[in-house]
Amino acid sequence: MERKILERNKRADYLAKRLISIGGVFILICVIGILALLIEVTLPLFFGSGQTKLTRFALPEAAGKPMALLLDEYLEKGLWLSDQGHYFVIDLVQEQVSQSHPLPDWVGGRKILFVERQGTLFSSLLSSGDFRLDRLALVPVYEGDEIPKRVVRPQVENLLQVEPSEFAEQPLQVIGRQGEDSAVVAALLPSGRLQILRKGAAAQSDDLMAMFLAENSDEAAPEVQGFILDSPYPIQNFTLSGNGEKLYAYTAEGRVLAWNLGEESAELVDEVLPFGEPHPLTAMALVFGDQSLAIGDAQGQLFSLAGVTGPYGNRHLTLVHRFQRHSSSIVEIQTSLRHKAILSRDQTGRVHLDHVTSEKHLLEFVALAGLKLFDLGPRGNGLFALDQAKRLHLWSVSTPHPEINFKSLFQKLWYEGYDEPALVWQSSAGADDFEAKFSLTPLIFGSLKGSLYAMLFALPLGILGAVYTNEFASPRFRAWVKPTVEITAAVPSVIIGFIAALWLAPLIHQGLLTFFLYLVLLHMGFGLFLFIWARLRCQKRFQKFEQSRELLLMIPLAVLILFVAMLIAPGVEGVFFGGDFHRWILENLASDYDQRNSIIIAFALGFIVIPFIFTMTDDALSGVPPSLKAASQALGASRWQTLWKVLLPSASPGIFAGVILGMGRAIGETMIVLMATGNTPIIDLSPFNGMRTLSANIAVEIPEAPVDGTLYRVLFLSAVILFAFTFVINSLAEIVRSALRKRYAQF
Amino acid sequence: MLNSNPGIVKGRFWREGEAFIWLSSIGVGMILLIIGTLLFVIVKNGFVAFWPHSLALVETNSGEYYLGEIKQTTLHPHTGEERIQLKVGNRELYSLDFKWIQSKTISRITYPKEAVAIERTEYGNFYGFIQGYQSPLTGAEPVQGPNVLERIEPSFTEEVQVLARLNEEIKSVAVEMESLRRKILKAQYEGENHAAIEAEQRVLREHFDLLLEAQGKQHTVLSQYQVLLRDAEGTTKTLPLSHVVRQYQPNQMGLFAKLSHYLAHLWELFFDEPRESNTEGGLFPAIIGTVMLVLTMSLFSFPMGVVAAVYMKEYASPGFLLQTIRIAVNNLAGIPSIVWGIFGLSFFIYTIGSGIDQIFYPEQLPTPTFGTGGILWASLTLALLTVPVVIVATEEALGGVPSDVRHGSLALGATKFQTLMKVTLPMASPRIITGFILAMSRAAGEVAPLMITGVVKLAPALPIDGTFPFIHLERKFMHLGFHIYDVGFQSPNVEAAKPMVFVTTLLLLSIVILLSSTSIILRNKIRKRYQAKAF
Repeated sequence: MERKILERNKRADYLAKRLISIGGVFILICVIGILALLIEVTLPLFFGSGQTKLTRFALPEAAGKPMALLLDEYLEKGLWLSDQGHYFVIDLVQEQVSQSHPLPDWVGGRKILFVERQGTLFSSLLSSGDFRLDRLALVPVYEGDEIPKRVVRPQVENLLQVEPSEFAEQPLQVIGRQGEDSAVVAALLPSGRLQILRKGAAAQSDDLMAMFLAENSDEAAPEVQGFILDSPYPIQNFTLSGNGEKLYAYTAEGRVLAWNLGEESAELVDEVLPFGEPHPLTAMALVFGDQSLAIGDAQGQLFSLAGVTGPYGNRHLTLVHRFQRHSSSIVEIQTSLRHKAILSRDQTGRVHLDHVTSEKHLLEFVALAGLKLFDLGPRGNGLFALDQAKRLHLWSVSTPHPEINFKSLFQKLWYEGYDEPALVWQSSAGADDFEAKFSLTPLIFGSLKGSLYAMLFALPLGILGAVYTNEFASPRFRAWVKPTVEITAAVPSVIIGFIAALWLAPLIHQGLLTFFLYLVLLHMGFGLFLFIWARLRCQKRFQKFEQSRELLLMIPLAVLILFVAMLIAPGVEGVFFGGDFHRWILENLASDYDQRNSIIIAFALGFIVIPFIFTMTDDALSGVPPSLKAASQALGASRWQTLWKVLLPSASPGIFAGVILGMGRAIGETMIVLMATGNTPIIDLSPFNGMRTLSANIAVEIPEAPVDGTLYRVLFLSAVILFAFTFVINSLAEIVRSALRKRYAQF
Repeated sequence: MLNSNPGIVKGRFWREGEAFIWLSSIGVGMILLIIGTLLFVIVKNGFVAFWPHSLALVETNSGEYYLGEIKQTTLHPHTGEERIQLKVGNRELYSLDFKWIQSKTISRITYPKEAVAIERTEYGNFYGFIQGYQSPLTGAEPVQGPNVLERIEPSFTEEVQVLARLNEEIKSVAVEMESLRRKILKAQYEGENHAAIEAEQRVLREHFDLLLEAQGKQHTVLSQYQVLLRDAEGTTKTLPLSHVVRQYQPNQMGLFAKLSHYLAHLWELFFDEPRESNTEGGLFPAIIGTVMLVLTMSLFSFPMGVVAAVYMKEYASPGFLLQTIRIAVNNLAGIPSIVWGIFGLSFFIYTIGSGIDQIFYPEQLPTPTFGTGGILWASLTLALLTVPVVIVATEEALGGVPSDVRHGSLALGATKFQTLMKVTLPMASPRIITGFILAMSRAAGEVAPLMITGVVKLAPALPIDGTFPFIHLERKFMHLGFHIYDVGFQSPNVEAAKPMVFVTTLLLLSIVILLSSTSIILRNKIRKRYQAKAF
């Protein structure tokens, strides 16, 4: 051979080896890569929260003492309000503070003593005893004709002013809220009582510019309506709901009270000692949605209360969540405007950010001098704070999935509006302040329930069928049954789902009793048949059936029993079940009957699993060394005894592998469960209910899930769980099978 | 086989376990019964769907008339009374396609010869009687008579053809305009002068508008051809002839006429577009989509699988790495298809697809080109899904080649690669092909991963057509399996759509069973061949 050709061949051989090796390793990389990618998408669920310090600078010496801070949504501008009634706009990018502007209608010579804020609404109590309610906001405006440029501008508007004479006593603390048609002002009087004032609608100006310029408008003085709220206990602190309809307060010994505010009076709706004993409280705020109350105490503990219906049907505020403890007394709680998160500040100036429902401790903000004032911006994406040393701090805050932790995904969680902790999957609903509930437990339960029912059906049929086919049937029968079952494995699951949901489900719904009767009669009928057969088989002409022709009798018998069941079902229904089996189930088994239920799933999923179990059992039995069989028979064992005592024990690991592989297939199956279950995520083992499985849930929800949103990532997490399920099952099956191979090797 | 028959003695039946053998036969009996029932239901419903059923005129005691196909006679689940289900059609008149009538209220059922069933482009079938026709040829008044239709048909057909030509032209102009729009976008993005293209676009738009106008006019002309109908109750209705897909009088059709009707339906099924949100008409786009999907999948899956298997069997040295790869392949085979789907979504579509868009189609953004579901991504996802099947089959096939043959080749001086290409692979090829077919049948039936990687209810264009570059892998596609799910579960009138779903089911099942039984039969044959050979 020519040298050149030899060289070329060698080169080709070398190249091929490299390429093929790369190709082979690529498969491994693929598997690892897929898992890595799936996990990578889910990781931010658990480790996504973070804070970055953007800037820190000293507040220029300016007139007055800062009373409140405000941050815009782009983290570009901040605003601080001084006790002199002036506000300053701070450019956070340039670190500059603008000229001071007085609040609209500000009368000089007064000082702000106390500021309470809810969102953009600022309630200020002045040294003169006046009260004013202002709306302060930083609003992005797009300016410029050619290329619109974003400029953040302050928007300041005075909503309400109350004269000192309108209060019964000089108030200690006053809070105002803008309701739908009137403003509500609540004042805490030194006597521990509360005074409620209801003011007619303050003119809401629609014109942004008018607000911006804060022009005086000549309004007629709003009519005053007020009443004194007679509290059974002296009040220490209180807060109002956003619409001004509910008032929450606590007393010195930690008793929490709730009132519904009416026009002229208030109704005390709740009065609880959340800890069952006196427990001094120090701060309170209403969580976004106004259903939960966050409370802090002198030991630095942080709790939330929510209305819960007790055992006697009455609704009481109940201690629902506990959050990470502060090291010292809590002095202030603010709530996020975007999600159910609370910011709490303790005496040492540390600020915690916690999520209410999941009790997840999100972030902690610390400054050397201790923080004094803070604001979490309207989007919850930054924290703007002032420390004791009058330095301003700005953090950018990222809490992409505050509601997700291990607990919220797998354990019972006490959602708002629920009377007890629950496992709920509910990814979307109509209401604005709706909280998505992402518990994967009902879905995992659904997956396991579905495959359990499928196994209940497939396991006996698959194993019995394979045993008969392999050991007792004639070779000709075996030669066409095995491929038939194998081809069955190829039937697309969408077809089985369709038939199960649109043909079988209505059929079983109509003939539910017939179905159960058939199950019972089938067992009875076969038992009876065997008893009769024990006599008949002694006769010569029946003996040919025992030589691999059992099916010739069994299939007609099964069909016959079906007809019998159909025939007697109406009579049985009339006599035993009051003429309506469905109602009987509802009344006696306390279970609703869904048309697409676990019985249907047992059939449909079972149909998918049977070929697996059948084929694997058949293979396992065929793999048993023939010497074992021969030895057993030589010792006088009958063919069933040989099977039961020798073949099955030897083949059992292989059968077990088949069973768990079938189980893995059932858990991962999507189309069938998507079509033939009701897809309701409930936890109920009843055969008359459906379920929602992990796999169907992915198919249902992923089209609506925004990329990189919480739902999207949670769905990826469920894919990871499915992956893990199948990984464990496959590895287990592989281990069992290799052990089996080793055992057979000795024969 | 354990067929040795110990002497049959009374009493040993239980002790020797013969009874349990009977019991085990129930298992296989039940399996076969269930498979048989499934096949029977699909085949029966699938085949019957297009058969023209007789139209029954049901007259009730209270003097009401209903005309339709009798679907079934059952007992009411609660009252136990006999009732019949009638498909009355005429959805725009009755709003429901089906009607239950109690048998005891029926006074008479007749099968009038002149009853006509009309398949329409909207509102499902019409069952009733033809009163007459109206056309520009016959004047403003409806004309009755046996040969009116024959008289007006030639001119009607001509007008329809004119419209078809117009539509064809509009379509091609639309394609041209779309490509111009893309060019302009691109020019804008790159800051080039695009005044010339815009001028071209203006000319084209004028032409397009003219065509549209002509199309509108043609529609008006066509709407003058009308058929006057009457339903069983006597309500009259006019229907433009252009809305009629097919009309037939099942009560006077002979076997041959019914058969040719059936065949016409089959033709429509395979080669026509779907109608009425997929519940009527053909499956052509879904068939094309499925075939394209499987073929594209094969393009990726087969080479990958064979290379991997060759590596594992012929090149890799046994050890930890090979063991790990084997476990990985086994696990790949077991991963649920929906997990592949979600992987395809995040990796192919959101990572690779978006990357391609950013590099090659930045002018189109934010409208995604490859960054959204499409046939390419769906077939890549399916390829990953089927690679393990190919690997396992190829590995088995290579293992089946006796090592003597390999040694012989090597001893004659061939390199390893030459041995592989000239000896091992050719010998293993039949079984490898078996694996290919198995992979294809698995891919053809898989739906779940497609639902998140680009299958749609109704695709506006086929992934393969006459416009450059002829194969459009970025397009969304239709699929037989998804068609079943969509029409059977998402359509507003599931009951009326059922026949169509059964037809699709039958078609898909036939394809899959054909593929997998071919591979299984092939495999068994080859197994025998190898057993016979002795080295």
